[in-house]
Amino acid sequence: MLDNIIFGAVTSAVLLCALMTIFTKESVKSALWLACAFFSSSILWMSLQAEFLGLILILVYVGAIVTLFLFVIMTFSDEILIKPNVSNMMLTRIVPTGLAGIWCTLTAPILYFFFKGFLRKETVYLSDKMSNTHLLGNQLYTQYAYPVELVGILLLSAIVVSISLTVDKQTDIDKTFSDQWRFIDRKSRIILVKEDTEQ
Amino acid sequence: MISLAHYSIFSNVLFTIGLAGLMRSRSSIIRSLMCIELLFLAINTQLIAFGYYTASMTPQILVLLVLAISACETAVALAILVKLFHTKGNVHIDTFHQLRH
Repeated sequence: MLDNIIFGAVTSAVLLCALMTIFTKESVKSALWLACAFFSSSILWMSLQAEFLGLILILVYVGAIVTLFLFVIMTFSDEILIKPNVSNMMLTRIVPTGLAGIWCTLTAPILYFFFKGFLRKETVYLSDKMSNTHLLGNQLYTQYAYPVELVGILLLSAIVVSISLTVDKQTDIDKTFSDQWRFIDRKSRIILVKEDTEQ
Repeated sequence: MISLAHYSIFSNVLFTIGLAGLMRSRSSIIRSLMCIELLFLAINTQLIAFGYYTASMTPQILVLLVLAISACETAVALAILVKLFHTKGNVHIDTFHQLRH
């Protein structure tokens, strides 16, 4: 009974926050609703015995990603972000989405019917002795070490890419390195031009 | 008793909301990125529910990897957005059609 109440409350909160994310006009408020959606779904994840991932969702998404969104939004201002007078083709956009949603929602029980045999009936804790973090770490550094390394390289390359994209390379500055200093003479520094005076 | 079907329906509805937002916000790139985050959230919730109902840790590891990859995606996309703003002066999708025929 309590499970049902928690599930209903949390899922309706997530769906409400997601709806507010896409229907709010201002981008700042939209990002804040996105943070609310992440927060409430982390509660859902914790109720599914994924405590570590729930905390990671709060730390990484609410703490880093949404903050990044807010930072970018505040740099741009809403006039730049939202184009005025956009014709919203309701019929060509909303109707296919609605149909896709109905199809997705109908396929879920059908899939459930087919995979019913694989599912467990009652709540079984993955381990009574070890915490979720311990279990996850055990598997991450033994069986899944190679994907973890790959993701580490991907994160590093993402850092390099985003820094090199945003760093503003100033090409108009004349830089002289120290090994070139002895070649400097007067002609390379100043050019005297003879021009007629107007008087 | 909450079954996997409840979680599946929930994450499908969340996915559809994200998809609708993606279609609705075609003029603003940053809104589209937020909707992509909603799609990731729906998929991750579905994976964790699968892991819970099959008593397996593998989906949780997959979710961890997906979280890292989507964080990379968002960071690079926002960097590209900042660069586009420097070169074009605005961030509307309609102005970026140089590769269109």
